[in-house]
Amino acid sequence: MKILNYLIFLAIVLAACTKEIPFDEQFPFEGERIVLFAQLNPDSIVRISVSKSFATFDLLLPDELLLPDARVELYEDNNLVETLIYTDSSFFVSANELRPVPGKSYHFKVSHPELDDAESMPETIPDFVPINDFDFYEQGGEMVLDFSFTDNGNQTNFYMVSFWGLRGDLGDYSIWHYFPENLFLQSETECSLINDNTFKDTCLNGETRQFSAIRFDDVICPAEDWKDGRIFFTLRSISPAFYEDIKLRDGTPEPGFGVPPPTFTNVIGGYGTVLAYQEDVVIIEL
Amino acid sequence: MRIKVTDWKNRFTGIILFLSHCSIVVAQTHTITGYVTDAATGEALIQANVYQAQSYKGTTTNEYGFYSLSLPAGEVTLKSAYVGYQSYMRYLQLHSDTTIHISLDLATMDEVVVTAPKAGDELLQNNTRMSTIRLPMQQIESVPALFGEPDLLKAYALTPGVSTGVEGSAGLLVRGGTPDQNLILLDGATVYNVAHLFGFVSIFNTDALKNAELIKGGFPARYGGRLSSVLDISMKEGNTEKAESELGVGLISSRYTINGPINEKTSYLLAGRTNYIGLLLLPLLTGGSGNQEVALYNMYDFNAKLNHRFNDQQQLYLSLYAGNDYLGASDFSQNPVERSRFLWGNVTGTMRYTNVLSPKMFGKFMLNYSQYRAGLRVKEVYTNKTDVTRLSSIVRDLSMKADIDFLPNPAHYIRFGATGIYHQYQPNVTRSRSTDTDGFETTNNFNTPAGEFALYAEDDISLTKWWKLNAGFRGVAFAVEDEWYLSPEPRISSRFLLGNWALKSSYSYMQQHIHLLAGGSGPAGVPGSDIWVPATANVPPQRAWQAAAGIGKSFPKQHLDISVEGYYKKMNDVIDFLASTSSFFGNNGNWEERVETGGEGTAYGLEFFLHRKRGRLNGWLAYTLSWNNRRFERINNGRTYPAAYDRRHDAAVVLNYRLGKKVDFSAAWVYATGSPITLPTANYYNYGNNINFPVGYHSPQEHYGSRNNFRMPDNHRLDINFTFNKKTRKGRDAKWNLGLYNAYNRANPLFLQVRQGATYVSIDGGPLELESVSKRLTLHGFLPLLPSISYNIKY
Repeated sequence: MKILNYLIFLAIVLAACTKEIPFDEQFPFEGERIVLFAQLNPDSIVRISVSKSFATFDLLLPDELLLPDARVELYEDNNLVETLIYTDSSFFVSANELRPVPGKSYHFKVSHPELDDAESMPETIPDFVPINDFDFYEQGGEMVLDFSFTDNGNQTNFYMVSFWGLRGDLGDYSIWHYFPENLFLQSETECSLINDNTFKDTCLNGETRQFSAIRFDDVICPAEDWKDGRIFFTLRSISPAFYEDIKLRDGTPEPGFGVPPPTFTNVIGGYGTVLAYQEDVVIIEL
Repeated sequence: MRIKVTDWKNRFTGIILFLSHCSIVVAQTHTITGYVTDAATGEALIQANVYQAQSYKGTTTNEYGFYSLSLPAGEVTLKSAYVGYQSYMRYLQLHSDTTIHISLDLATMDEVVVTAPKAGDELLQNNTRMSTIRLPMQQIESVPALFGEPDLLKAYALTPGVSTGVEGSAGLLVRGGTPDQNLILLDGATVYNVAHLFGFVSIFNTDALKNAELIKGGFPARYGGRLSSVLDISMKEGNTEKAESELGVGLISSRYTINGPINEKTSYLLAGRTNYIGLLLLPLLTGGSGNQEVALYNMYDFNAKLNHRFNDQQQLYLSLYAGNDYLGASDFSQNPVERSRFLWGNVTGTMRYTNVLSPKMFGKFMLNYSQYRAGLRVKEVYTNKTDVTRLSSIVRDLSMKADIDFLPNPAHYIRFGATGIYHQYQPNVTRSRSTDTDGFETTNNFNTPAGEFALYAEDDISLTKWWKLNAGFRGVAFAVEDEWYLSPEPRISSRFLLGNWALKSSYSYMQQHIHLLAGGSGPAGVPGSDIWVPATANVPPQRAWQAAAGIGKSFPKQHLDISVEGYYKKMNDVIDFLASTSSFFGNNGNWEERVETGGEGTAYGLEFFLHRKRGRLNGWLAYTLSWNNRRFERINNGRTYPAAYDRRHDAAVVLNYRLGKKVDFSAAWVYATGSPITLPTANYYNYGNNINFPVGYHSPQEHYGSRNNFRMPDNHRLDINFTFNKKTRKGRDAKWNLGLYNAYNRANPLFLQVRQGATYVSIDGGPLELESVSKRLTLHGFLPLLPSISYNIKY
């Protein structure tokens, strides 16, 4: 519909007269603060990225923002369990190779001589939710994915489904296939997807539910393009904070369209997110 | 109490008298009624003063120029006065009900300066109305304007408490409200879209207009349906004395108006305006290979009015407005050939019948139709078939109104009436057809009918010489889907006299059953398109109450009004857009799921207004200090934030000065605090574990704090205009207007843009790594110095 282009063009011509002018105002900046990023799950050793923030027009490279001399303490159920050690690329890891335990809560306290202390909010590792049955097959030229799982009805649960693989030709870059919005059309609107892959259990209410998603086959690359000829289907049980973070990201408009919502953080005195999940993965041999 | 009951009308009058506790015992009173008109044109004069010179007891004419004044029998010196006109005076012996029609002659400039009749102007201290601004049309036409086009809305935007938001836009923002919260009436019919050219020009052709009044608070009970303001505009009725024409030729448009009598009892007015900006832009809108892409833009307005006076009691008015913007585009360079057109605009029609039911009672009966429609049609012509797709958004109103003015005595001015409206909302219709198939297939059609019924009564009461009150009540019922919304709306305004100063206060409650999803280049994503939707079971009506207090005084010798007002407005159930919403138009989704509901708004401020309506030097000085906040549960983490149009300071100086008999000079300087925007408060890198990216990808991120945490630079601008008046050889009045918009070429900010870049390198075929980043902030200014020229002639 080229007319819309003309319409927008006409509006711009009328505003024609816009010109770039010097603007010396400073962006608002809250000062340098500690930035934490971590995703905790029972399958991985605890590790956390620690760096610092910078002002919008400070042209700093990632390496200039690392904080290898920070002190990073890990707490399990509010008890200090260890001080993490720095490895590289901003990451501090558990020297004891500690893996988070489902049902327990974890948080970090981080200090640095030149910055204010930062502390993440406690995150509890969600219960494991297995994929009951799974099928991935071709039907009428389209690839169909069926799966089911049982929701725990005693609490509010949050889920993320992912369908992904590693592309060897892109340096092991992961490619994600998002699910169509109609995945949960058979459910109530409260179960509609955010960020194309995340939802809460309002419509499940402790039941076992069968879902089906149809992908067009041209979305699926030839098997040889995937590393080891595999793709993965993942069902993650995620924490409430994880869900909130994704919900806010999903609400962030494209640049120039609308007002960005406040960025989610559960780090007190700093920025970033420390989130928890547990996942079940199905490997699909193509 | 003695009530003379002679027929059913007076019986009704008696009931009203009783109900309105108007138990004033009078000896022998008689009523003088009539119309006040312009002697030269026969146009009714609205809000003209009619009073007894001895006692200063008086009244003002209503919107039809009608007055009714009950006075004790005996010798009466009747006076009438109106801004810019010579005053009228007549001695009479009042011994029965009498009809006196008053014709006022225009004052010459010298007379204007010299004469200073007491109560000649509409004095602030005489009435209970507050938060109300009425600019004389002559003054509106003399305000320097963009492209030299006189613009009613932009003139009102220079008054206190009113702005247009982004420079160049036409939607009014009144006391912290949004453009959809203004009830804009043209001869009683609701106008939904007020702008042409994406907001640069308003749809109101000032040549066809007689009067406009803006009410920002203290709303009388006869108005309802919007939260923030009422702009009541009346079209001219047509000269009843002689035919006259007016032609105006400007830079982007031309206007032609003709009006005059058809016979002794009937007059007419026809006014048209069209523009040729599309022709000027044609070279820019034509391109493609071999010039096979063509686009054309046009807009027009058409006003018509017909008045017929059956007798002294009964009149019939028919008015019509039609206006559209049109953009057509064709692309012959590809297969299929694509022809598209986008059309948006209003149609309003009003039939009004007025009847002097008794000397003390004036009836107005009205039938209105109003439609706003934005429609996009795309036609794709293939070699073997043609596909047509139509997207449209429509709102239609059909309404009936009955209003009665009842003036039992000078101490009371009672109004009561009823309104019934049938609304039809079709915010999002998608239809498609192919020559392969039969008929249109409607794939998306949200058609929501709604009904609205309102009853109101109000009384302007003179309780004592120093205390007047306007007390009223409006009851509204709105039915949509299976939902009923009832709205009891109390209204009260009061005036105390403190010496010669009027201390005024008001309270009003309003409910609005309509929402605007998008406007201009807003979230609709389509410039010019407005999408109106009703309150529904899921999206309740907007509600607001407003309290205001102020002090004011008129200085009649200087023709000067001065007022200071403070206001506080609380809004509930306002809506906003989900941040991810980018387009409503043609979207298949349900709009209810794409808006945030339950929002709260607070607006408060202080307004100062110094207004000289006439004289060799006239104009006004306006200043507003205001705060305007919003709060939504799911926006900004539930915290209160400044609304998009929050302006701490807003000021305007408008001056018109007669340099000589042939030259007028006018200037307008405006200033406003910069608008709030949302900027990041920090930046950082996510070194991995990003949800959407693999470990090792260093994605820079911006951290946004609270919404609207930063201010753009302030806006200010000076517009000037010279008018050269002359007589043509044939004795016709002509004038040249030479104008400069933004005379000192201030680049007022439209938007900020952060331009950033990043360079990634791959070492030895490894993964890409960030090597450097660059950032630059630019601010885009808007509408630099723009000269204009226009020529007007009357004959």
